[in-house]
Amino acid sequence: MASWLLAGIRLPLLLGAAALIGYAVFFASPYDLRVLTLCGIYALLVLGFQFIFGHAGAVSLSQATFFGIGGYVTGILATRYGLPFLVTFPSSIAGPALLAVIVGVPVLKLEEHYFSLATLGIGLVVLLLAIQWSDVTGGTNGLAGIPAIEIAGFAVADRRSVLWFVWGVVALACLLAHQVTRGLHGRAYHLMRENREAAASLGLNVAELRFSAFVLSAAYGGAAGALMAHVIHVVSPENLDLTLMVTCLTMTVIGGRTRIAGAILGATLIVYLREWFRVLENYYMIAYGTVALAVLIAAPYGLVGALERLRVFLFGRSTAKPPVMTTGALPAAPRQSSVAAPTPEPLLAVDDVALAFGGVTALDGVSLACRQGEIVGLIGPNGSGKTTLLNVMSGLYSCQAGRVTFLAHDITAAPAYAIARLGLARTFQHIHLVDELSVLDNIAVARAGIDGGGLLRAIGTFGRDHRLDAARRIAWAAADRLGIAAFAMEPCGSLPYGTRRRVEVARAFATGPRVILLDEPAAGLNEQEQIDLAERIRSFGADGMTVLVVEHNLVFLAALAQRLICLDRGKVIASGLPEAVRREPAVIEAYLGLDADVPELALTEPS
Amino acid sequence: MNELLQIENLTVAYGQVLALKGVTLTVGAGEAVALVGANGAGKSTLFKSIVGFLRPRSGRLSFLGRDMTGVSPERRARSGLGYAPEGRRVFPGLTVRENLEVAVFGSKAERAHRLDQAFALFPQLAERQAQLGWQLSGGQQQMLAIGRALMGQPQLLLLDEPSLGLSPKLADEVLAAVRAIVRRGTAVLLAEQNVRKALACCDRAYVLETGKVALSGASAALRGTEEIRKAFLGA
Amino acid sequence: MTFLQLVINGVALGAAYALVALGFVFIVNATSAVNFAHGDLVMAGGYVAVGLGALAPLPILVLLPVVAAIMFAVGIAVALVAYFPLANRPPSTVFISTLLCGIVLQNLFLVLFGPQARAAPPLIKSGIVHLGGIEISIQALGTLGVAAALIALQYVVFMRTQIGRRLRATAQDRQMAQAVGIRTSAVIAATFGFGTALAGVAGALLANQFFVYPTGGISLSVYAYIAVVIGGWGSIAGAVIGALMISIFQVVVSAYVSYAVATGLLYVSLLLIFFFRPQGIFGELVQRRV
Repeated sequence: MASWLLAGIRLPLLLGAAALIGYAVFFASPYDLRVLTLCGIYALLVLGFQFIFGHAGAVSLSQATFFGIGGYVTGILATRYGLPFLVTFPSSIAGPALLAVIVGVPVLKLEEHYFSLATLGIGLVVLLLAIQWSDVTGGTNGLAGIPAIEIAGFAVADRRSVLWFVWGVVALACLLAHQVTRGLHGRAYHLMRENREAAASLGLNVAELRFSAFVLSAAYGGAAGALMAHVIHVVSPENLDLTLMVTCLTMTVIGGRTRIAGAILGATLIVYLREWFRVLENYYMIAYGTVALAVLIAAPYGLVGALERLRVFLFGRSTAKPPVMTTGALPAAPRQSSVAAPTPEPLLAVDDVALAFGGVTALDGVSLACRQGEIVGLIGPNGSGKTTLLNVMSGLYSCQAGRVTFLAHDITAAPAYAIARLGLARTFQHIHLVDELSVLDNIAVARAGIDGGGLLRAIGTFGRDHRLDAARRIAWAAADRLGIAAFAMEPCGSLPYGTRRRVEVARAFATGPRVILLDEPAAGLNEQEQIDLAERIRSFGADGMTVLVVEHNLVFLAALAQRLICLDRGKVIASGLPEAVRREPAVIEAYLGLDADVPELALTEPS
Repeated sequence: MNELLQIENLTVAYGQVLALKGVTLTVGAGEAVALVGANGAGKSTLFKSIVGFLRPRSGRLSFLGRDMTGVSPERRARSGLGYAPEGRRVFPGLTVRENLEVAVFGSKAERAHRLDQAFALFPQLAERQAQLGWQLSGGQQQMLAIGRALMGQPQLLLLDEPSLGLSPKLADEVLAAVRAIVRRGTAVLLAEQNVRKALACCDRAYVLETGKVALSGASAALRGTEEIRKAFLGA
Repeated sequence: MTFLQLVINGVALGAAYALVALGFVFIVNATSAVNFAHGDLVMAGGYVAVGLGALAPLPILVLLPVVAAIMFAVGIAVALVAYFPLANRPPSTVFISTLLCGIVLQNLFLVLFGPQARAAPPLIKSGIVHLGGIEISIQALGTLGVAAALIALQYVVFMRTQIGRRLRATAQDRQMAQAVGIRTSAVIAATFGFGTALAGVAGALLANQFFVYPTGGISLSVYAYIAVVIGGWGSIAGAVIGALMISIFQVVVSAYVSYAVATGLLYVSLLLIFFFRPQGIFGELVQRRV
């Protein structure tokens, strides 16, 4: 218990929370109670916003709209139809969520700026509706006389009860947010915002993750709006407008984009900032905006992040215990084929694939095939199309002609995550790991797309997260295969490059693939590390895994590859046994620019 | 021999990766020096450090006798350093003429004079003056990148992998210009994967292997040696 | 009103919007930063015109250079506060910082000028001119003239001068611009300055017919954003055309239905454009599959 309390900044946060609670119970005037209640409502709004903005990394400008819609649904249903809280509250959550579901699919396909603008556009349309459709919404004045919360005859009317009720809802919301973002699901979000391609190549359905984040943010926004309506008894277009959106953004950025504590801290701070600056009367918004800007510049990870950095600075990093016992037999990561001998049909085949970017031909009719258990090297000078070919195979690029077949499925048009789930894994030239997470967790993310189970499973998991444990066990096994088990609990950001490369390979390995594509895995490694990595990759092959390695480093490949394929300017110019390919005139020409005819350059063995 | 560029024991890192480990090299006035090595050897990293896009972790870099630590890329360029980067990177939305003009800091007359010089070196560019950068072929872009780098009348031109993505014939055309450039008074440091072509147009060469200088000497001496072959094909 | 009259009115309004969009797209091009305070800077220009008009009762045409100069300085200040300190952070951070600047500006206006709408003096003088059955206010004519002149000036500066070439080069490849000796930080600051000066002039032009009020900038920022998206992200000609399309649409449609409905239809059309052509009307599709 003590170690849990002392980890991170939990102790100061809990003390602060206790202080606020004590204040609310003993010292607060009715006005103060109202202010604290507003803190809770905004905290709920920000918690929701954190899903789409913080976790999914998309700048949505619809959060205030969802808030407003929630308020209006409550207002309309309560004042016009006299429906009780137990009907209006869920409706206020369902309404915005439904809107998010409807617009989410098209909107989330848009690129960054366009996505933000589209969400802004939706917000503006709804704002206009609120103002113009006055029969229903009360126009510019909005709807008044919204009753207090009443559940089964019990009215939650006085300020103290309202305060506890709102914060009770916030507590539940925090719990739900915690459930969604703990475990594999939360780590999947983290990787996704770090780099979408890496996430997709591990089998994570990025579109689905973003969609669920968007809908959740809408649901939370609606709940917050409904509560606001009950607290101030009025709903008006002000509940929908851009100023509220900016407030929400500010609270999130200042508190911390992904931290639950950050939502509460940010909301409370901004609400109180406004209160304190009210003394400045007309100048208070100017002061508030300036302070917010200053915090934005000074604390890029929000205040929670800044506090954590301060703690590390003052007290050093707290060492975490390994979360799971790893003794006992561990499941082997690759799904081993039951066939002892390699099957003759290729597992992965590329057939006459062509791709051009804006006038430059990257792939010009490339065909190759990999059989089970083979280790194939793909070589070629810079710009020959090696990485482009990997991107086509793994589904990150669409080819313009030709076919890609994997395990008898035509995957030419398949999305990257589906290809990964079929059993094709890959690594990248530039390593994308989540620096803040441990090695073990970085590798464990690989299981999120394969057997993670998605959002509903995540929410329903209480207590020990067995899925995470299972993923971590597989991650441990993968780490062991790559010789980095000793670093399992270290955060990736602090590791040397060679180790990070092995983490990345282990992560791809942990998806249990049949075929693994490695893009320049030896780049940046010293000689010892290269030898080590080559041996480990050889051992994968011995287990029946098929490996395609793109490399420039022919010394590295010499120890590894059973077959070499050479690309030059988008075409295959040689293919076969390594010694033969290295002697091919075309290959020598492409790499060294040496003519085969010149006698001094024949590659005979040195005497 | 006045050294234009003096690099001593340069170490450059990308985060944790040591891309250059104690590199020492020099380029003197009137020289054409080649920097050869496989991909990942560190050639582009070295160039980016000379130009000023990367800060070295340790070591000394002087240009024209002056220490370049902390000097911005703009100032280095203006003091006589020309750079034709890997991948050409011509300004895509500017015409050929504008690509050249934008690199001149002088009077209109001076600009016109240097334009003529550039067109004399690369007549193909003169024919295409009004075409936009992105519309040119690879070889033409390469010529434009070199021409642009020369517009500032630099003392030293850094040429990073000009033969990349070009057919052998075009690469030869571009590299033939290296000799002409040196004759006009600009020293050249040429980075190339294609060893033969590099050695053919340069007097001296350094061989870079995983961030270190593995070999150096006169081109004639290096041509066809065991070491050069080993450095590339691991035979 | 005849259809032609409506179109003419739309074009007159569009001239001012085009200036707003032009300033906005400058900044987007040079820095990839979406300056959401841009509309508030337009209002700032309007307020400067109001203030100057109170001090020196001259037609705005004479005061325009002063407005432009003041707003140039304001633009550089915005760059120093909201852009340069955050240049290494994710672009969303700059977006937020400009939003916050906008809030500060809006409340500054509120404090200095009060909540009521203010009008700036006319460009030349008030009044209406009749040209073959079409009515057009002198203000609108003047606005068209100034806007056309500025767009032409922008074109000349951008396309025919060294400064213009350097601005474009910096926008297209900042590193290579440095490598040919261009002081890119100064160029970026100047871009913010020019973009804001244009915004300010637009504000001074709009302030006579359309008034300035503290929260008037928000919708202008949105229109500029929409214009740039319709026209293709980063295209200068596209931004101008986009702005004209928005204003003509607004004016024509709101003659048949209410202004609010017209605005609503505008946003809905924008959303429809997104869904069918995610790259804008003139933009290029990015080949991403994730």
